[in-house]
Amino acid sequence: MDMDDKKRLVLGHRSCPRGLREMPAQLERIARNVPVEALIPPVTPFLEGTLETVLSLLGEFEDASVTVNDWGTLDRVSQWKKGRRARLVLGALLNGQDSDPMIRVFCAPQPDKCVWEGGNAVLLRWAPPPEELKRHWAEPSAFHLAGMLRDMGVDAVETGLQALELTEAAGLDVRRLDWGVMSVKPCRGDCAGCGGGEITRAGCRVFFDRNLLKWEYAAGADGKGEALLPAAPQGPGSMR
Amino acid sequence: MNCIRFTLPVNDPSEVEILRDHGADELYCGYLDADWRRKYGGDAVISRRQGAANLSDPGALRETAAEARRSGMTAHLTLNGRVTGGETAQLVRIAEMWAAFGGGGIILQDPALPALLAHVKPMLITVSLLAVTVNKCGVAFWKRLGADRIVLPRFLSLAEMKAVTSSAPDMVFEAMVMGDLCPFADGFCRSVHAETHAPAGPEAVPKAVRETCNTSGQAYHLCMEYGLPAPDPCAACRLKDLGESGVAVGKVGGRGLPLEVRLRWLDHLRLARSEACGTDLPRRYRETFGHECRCYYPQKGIGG
Repeated sequence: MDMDDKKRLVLGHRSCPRGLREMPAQLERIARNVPVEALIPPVTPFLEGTLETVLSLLGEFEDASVTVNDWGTLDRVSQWKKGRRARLVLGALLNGQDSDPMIRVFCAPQPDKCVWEGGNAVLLRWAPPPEELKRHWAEPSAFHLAGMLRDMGVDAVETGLQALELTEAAGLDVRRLDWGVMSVKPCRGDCAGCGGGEITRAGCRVFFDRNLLKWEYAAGADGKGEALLPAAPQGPGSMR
Repeated sequence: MNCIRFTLPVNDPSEVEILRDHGADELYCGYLDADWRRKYGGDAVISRRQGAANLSDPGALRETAAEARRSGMTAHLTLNGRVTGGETAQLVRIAEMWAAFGGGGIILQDPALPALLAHVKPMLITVSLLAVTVNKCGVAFWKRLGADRIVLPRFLSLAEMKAVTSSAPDMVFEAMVMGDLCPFADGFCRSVHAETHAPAGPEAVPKAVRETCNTSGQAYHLCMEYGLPAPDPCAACRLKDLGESGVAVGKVGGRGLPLEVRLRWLDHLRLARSEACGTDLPRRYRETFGHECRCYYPQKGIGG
């Protein structure tokens, strides 16, 4: 079941520390009856004070949602949330997924190849991935943590795009993103030099959003591996 | 003399004594047996290394644990892959086997596992750097779950490490000191990490046929597509700083690399720890490894 997609003013960024640093000033200017969504990146030590300021300000809002992306901040916000009318979301970085679009290539037939393995020549022949592996690829890690997350007051989990159709969510509300997480480049405090170029991977577009590397399905066929791929699964509307 | 201890990867029981004689203080290993391979393939499901980086049967696991105990070293088993509901039972059985063999600890990243492994205590529970523990609340979270040690993420600066470690003086903290620098925050990296195989030329006659869903022989690491890997970094010059930042154990990477590589790394780190070289370590590195060194923890830290 998808999370109720209430219109919220979204602040911050899932991986960029600047998003958190700028948040107190932004929150100060917003009317307290506006529903807000605070995206919190992994909080390194010198951002902990800023996090506390943000939580203090969010406590003044009638309808605040906080999306966290490291276990420590989840724990902290879980405590902050007690007794408050606020929403806690497990962010996409914290919800491990095998979301690499290359997995779709592995699910489709490939040519034989002779390789060296342990000093011997071995012919690699394609066979479909084992069912256990496909099930592993299809299930985000948060799903098996459902009990623990509910005890911590988590209301929903973010899931990004993934190569295989999502498994049943074990009673968790799911916020589906329309892009997938590929990776995060550690912040070096150099905003001008942040990010990087765009590449194509398994026919999908891989690009930087600040230091967060995302992927999404390429618009139209680009001829690079599309013929190998099963059709992209069609999901319900989702949050960017 | 610096008191930082070194933990090194072991790929085979026969390496244990050699690593001990070279001065390793602790060991860690991986495991990938035939049953796991049949169900999940040989890529990064049980841990983040493939193929030769893993012990491949219970006998090798038993021998490694036994050799480590005979050598007076703690040996940790790496179960730090991404976990879903389907494999927890098998992971617990593997951990129980390791405990029965006398293994010293488990390295993990999934927060459900410590509770599932509570019955194999007093084996140590170490939180992998893949769990991305970046603040004191994270330390408290894992401590509450039963963790004894935490490996700090590679991208934390020394000042950030100190801020994290000072929150829990009774916890043991590890940090990478040689090799395996992922250019991304690898705890958040969703890139496939497949087994790599060198292509055999047209004259090669295959001795066997192996079925797999990835016949390319390529690893498909995302960082390779971005041209990011660089020579293995080193923290030899930073050992004292790491110690002052609360790091007790220096972790050497290279699971799956040849033993001679790991031994040369260890020799260089031990030299640094003895402080016999003074500030001459970069020159010694260049002479030993044939290229300029690259610092694991350059002075400028992560934004914070």
